[in-house]
Amino acid sequence: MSIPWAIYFAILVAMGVWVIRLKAVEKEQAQALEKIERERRAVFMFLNNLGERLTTSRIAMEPALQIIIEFIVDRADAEAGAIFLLDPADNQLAARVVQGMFPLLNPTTERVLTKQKYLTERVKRERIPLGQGVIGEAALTGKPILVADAANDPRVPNVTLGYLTIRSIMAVPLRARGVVTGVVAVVNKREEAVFTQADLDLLLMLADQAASTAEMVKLYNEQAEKQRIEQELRIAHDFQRMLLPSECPDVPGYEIAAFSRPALEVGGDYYDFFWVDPEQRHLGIVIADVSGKGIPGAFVMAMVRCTLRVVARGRLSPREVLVEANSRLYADTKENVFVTMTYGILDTQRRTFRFSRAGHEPLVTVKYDSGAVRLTSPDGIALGMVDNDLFQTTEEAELHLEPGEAVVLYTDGVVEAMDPEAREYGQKRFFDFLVAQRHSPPQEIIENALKDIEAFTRGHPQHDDITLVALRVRTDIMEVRVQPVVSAAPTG
Amino acid sequence: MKAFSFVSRELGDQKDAAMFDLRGYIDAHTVIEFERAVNASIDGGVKSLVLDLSGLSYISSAGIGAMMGLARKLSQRGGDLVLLSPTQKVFAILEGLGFTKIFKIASSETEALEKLNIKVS
Repeated sequence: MSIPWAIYFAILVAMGVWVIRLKAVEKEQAQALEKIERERRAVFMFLNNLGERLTTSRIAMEPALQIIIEFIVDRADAEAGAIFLLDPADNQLAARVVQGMFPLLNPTTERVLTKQKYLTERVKRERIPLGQGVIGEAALTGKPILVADAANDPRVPNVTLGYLTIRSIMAVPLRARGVVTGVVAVVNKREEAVFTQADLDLLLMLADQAASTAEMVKLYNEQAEKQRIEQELRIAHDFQRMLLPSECPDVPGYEIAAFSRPALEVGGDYYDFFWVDPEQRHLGIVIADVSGKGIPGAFVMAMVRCTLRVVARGRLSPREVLVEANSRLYADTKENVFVTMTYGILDTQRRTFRFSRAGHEPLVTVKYDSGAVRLTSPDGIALGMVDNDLFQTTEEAELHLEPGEAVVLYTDGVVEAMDPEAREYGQKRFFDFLVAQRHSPPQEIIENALKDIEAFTRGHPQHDDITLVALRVRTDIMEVRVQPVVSAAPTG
Repeated sequence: MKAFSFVSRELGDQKDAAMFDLRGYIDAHTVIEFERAVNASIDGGVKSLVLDLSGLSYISSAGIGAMMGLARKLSQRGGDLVLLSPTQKVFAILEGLGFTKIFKIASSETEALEKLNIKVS
């Protein structure tokens, strides 16, 4: 497995280099966009190519089976043989390996099959439904078939071309753990002889060997695939941790905390903070949930993160930022991938939180004194799904925050956390909890929320990531310089 | 109960429309079965689909992504997708995502057929 490891290492390095470069690029606003577009495409192509190469760590089934069929044909003293495997998806059999001039089993009028290479290819393309002919019947009934006089057996096609005439044929089902997985067949005993019961007994024994070899190869490949997936998840996990902020920003007058825990090794959630303006007055806050998981999910997440950081710069309307981000993501993501996001801008001086919701959970705020809960859910569509004509309907809301008021952003993994009886944690319990916790600093709110969710789920495994961002205006905010602002920020 | 199952039948007089009655839930695992079934139907020539969601208790983002892909695929073939009678829970998920603006949703089979312009003799 040394080759895949090298490739994984290459992915990690490439992605790491890419991220570091992006960070540098973000500083040069002017050329940033074009460059990022280019790099994004390059990384995307790189990953696509790798995806194809990674499958080569498997043991190919054909060479293993080829060795077996050569052995069988030789020992059975047959002119030709083939191993057919059953595709459980459509219940049809197809020859995976062929030895000798194995004839077509469906009637044909084609006359180009004089070369063994062409004939073999043609035989491999043939699909035999379960129950049809000698092969189909052996697979369906699970019983071996010996046809000594093929000319008078309706199950065998009559072929006039001499070298394709079937004089006698034997077909034996292949079994793995009691289930028929295919059929091995040999045709025409050499020297014009006819297969006998003794030949069939020999074939039965050899077929058993063929079946167990095929099964072993399959299990090995499944195991290799499992290991491959585990490695993929581990790397995506590390990669994803790299993308989350290592610490929350220190903003005078406010307290901020955040947490994200993937349900599996890799999740689709993320959060982010960045300053929208060089004066560090407007803080951008992001929470998002990417619909894909694993490396594709982590990659989309990286794409979303860098897109957002670029388009958010200098824009004071979250709606405008999401519309811009959507147009890029709609073009770049697959049709079944979407991202829910809440993007808000905290005006640290006016003490407002202006935000848009791209199909994400509602925003919840809790007042310090009364414990009043505000749920704000402006209209919005998840990112990456629709073109901008429709996405334009996304709205924007602005909340004025009081001293001590808490703003909480969360992903659906919080409210959809399930207990062993499949009941959901739910908005009500979550909001009641937030009201009870409203005097605690954000870090404690989050820590205690996780404890409350754990108490509710009682160890039941969770299927979705849990991400929380909590912000609270300090109760002593009035001591911090608050300037009245004359003009409101422009809107999109 | 099985995680996911479905029953499908032809709709209308033409042979290019079908109804899938979905049961159970669609998550990242069962979505594969769902996609296989509808794709087989599309490969068989179906252009318009009604998905009866009344028996669907839950749909994850993977399932919704699959339905979006399906809607796009059908519209490229000159057909359409209609979701029939989603449960409150599933409707709330779609609404939260803003997707009730994208999907055609019907509350009866007659309404679904009207949305697809399918005539029944």
